[in-house]
Amino acid sequence: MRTLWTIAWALCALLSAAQTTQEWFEEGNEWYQTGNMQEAIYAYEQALEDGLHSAALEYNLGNAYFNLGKLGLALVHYERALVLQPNDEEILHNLQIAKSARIDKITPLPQTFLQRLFEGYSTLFEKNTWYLLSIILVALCAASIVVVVRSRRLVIKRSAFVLFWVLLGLGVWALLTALQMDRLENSRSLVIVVQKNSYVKNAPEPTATDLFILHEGSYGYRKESRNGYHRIVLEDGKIGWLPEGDVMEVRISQP
Amino acid sequence: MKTLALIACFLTLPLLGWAQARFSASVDKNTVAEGEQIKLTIEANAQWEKLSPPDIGGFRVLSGPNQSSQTSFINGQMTQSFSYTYLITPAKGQGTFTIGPASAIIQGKTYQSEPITIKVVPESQRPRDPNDPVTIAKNNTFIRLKINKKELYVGEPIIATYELYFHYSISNYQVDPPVFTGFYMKDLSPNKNFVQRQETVGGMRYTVVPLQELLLIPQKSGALEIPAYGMDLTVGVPSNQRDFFGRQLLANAQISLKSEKMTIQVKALPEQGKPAGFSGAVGTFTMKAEPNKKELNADESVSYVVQIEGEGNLGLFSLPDPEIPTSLEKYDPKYSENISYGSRGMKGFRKNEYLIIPRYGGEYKIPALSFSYFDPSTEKYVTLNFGDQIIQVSGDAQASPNRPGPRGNEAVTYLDQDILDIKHGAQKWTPTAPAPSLRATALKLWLAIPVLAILLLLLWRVYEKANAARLSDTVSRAQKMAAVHFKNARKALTKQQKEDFFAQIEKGMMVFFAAKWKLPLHEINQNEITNRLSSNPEWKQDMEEVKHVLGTCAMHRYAGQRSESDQEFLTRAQQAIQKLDKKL
Repeated sequence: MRTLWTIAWALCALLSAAQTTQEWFEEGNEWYQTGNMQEAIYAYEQALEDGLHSAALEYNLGNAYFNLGKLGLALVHYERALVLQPNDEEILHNLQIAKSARIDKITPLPQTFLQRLFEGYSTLFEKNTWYLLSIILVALCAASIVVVVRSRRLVIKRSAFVLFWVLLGLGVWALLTALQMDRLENSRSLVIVVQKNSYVKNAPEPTATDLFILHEGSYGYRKESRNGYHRIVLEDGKIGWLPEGDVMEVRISQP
Repeated sequence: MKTLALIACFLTLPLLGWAQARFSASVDKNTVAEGEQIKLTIEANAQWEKLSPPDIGGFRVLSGPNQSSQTSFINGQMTQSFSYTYLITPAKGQGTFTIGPASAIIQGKTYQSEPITIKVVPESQRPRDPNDPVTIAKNNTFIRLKINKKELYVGEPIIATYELYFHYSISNYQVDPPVFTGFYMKDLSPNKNFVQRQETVGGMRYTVVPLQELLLIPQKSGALEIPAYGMDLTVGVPSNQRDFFGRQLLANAQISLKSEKMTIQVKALPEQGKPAGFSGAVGTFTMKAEPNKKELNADESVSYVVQIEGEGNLGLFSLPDPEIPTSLEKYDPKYSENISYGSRGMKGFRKNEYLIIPRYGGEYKIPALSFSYFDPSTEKYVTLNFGDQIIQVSGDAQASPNRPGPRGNEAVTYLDQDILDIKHGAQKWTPTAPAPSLRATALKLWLAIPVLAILLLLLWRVYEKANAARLSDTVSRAQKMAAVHFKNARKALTKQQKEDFFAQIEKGMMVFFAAKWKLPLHEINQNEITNRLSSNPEWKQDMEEVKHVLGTCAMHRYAGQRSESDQEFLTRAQQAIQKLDKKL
């Protein structure tokens, strides 16, 4: 009985000593408002330690990094905030300001009609929502084929048959959309240069030829990783290898 | 054989020697004093195809190149000589200078001359010959710089005049005008009619020609240098020789002259008492700032003139800008000036004319305008003030101050771009790691759902078949209804209620056929049943059985006779119905 009490007491002490995510967040805000960016960043990073985040936390952290002149890290956190709240005006505004402070000007290649079409509609839902939608549609499709086979009345049989094809088409489309989104996500992950400048080489070796220099805040897509280097492709189509430490991924990889 | 070869060798030697061209550069002296001249001759014994003159760094060409060629025949042999002659003079002071190699292409071959080193010594080191025409020319020709003040304020004008004094006739002059730094400069010479005059200096009569008169306005304080004016000219010095007619022959002396330099002290404008809006005006000025009319109707135009008039650095400061109220329509000013340059600086006026159109009636105020300048003669700042100007506009007043009239819209522009502030408040916390993809689940379900649907259909079919088989074995609804009555009949039999027993059996038969043929019960009787059953020959035997049962029932009711036991009779009635149930 006595040992049990000791354990309970120790647990209570531990819980009261450790700050919650919300408390760290508020502490960070206080430091930020007194102009102490280093402390604010420390508090925000502590808040992230528990594996929880919110759009406001990422946004505030981005602001703190921006005020310290760390453009690359600011952009990473703004982009993460934007993933959580895709249409937030404040995030979009600050992201725009941070983007305009970059050195490199990379003109994106024009997208094909199909690419634009896909980007236009696929962002309506999240990837997993598309999967769910496709599952619901295929279930309805199965239900309608049961109705076709079992129904005695011709009118119902016929309309269920038409419905079957419509649902099947929609279901396949939703599934293909989700699969394509998954493929894009895995094959090209957005990375942002966080060093002042990064030499992009033609091979994943330190002795390889330098192809071009990227400056802090430039965007690229990681295609593969080998030998401590990422192979990236820029929005204007330039390709090269750069050291892993020079960039940071916007997507948080699973532990 | 050997001797023959030797002879041939000797015979061809002169030919070889002749083929070799000669090319050289030479000077008449290797040590020269500043201001003296050197003759540089480039010579060749054959015509060159192309000549690159030498680099004469440190010297200046006075004249040349003078070309000459000579051809002479001596004992039937032709000698040619071609030369270029330059007259050069030191240009970079004392020291040792090198004239670079000259190169020429002669008969397809490139030749280069040797570089020449020349030592330039100060003038005094060179012994003077009083009868040398150059010395005489130098003694009697000079340039004088005159300035009208030595000490002045920044922005105060100063006049610098360069004048050439000469005694003997001059010709062939080239000028090297000075370059000024730190001054605003205006050359006054083009507007002046230079008159040459006579002046006696040191007992010698000189002709004086003004070279340049400059208006200078210093732009910074400190010691500023007024640089020297350089000139190369030829002076005709009379020599002792006379020509055929007894006239004195002139010896041409080429000399370069330089005026003296002067340094002036430029004082900064005093900080003490400097007015706030001081724009750098130095001199004496007057200001006018007023509208051309003070009472007008709406939509009429009025011009507001800001004019500065006076003497000083007039063109070197900006005019005061009036604050015209935004409720008046204001156009960009029309600028005009009339400035003449003279020994006291710039004189004249500069003015800005603003066109203003009031759109609504009312009283408008153009705020006071002030202008300050520094007067160097009194060494004090002067501020001119023009009070508020009131313009009375008659016409409809603006509807209401809260309802502004139409105005050209302007896009809202950022004064400065910066990020927005942070966000606060309680947060909805979500895991940082992205939600796992539903890909595998979705693909499995896509496979599983159709399989499930097909399985469901198959099971349904199997169930239905089994159900159908079971139903075919069992009694129909009609038979069930009849069975109720037969059950009652059996009950009646155990209670020995004979009448009820037969009534129940008869009722059971009737109910059965009524249900089978979907007829109301009252339409069913023995005749109807017999009629319907007799329509099909297959049912004949059954008909007989039914007839028998029904007949027995009727007979027993009325007569009470019968041949078989009650139990057997009930079984017989049931069997008849069962048989018919399948057939009907």
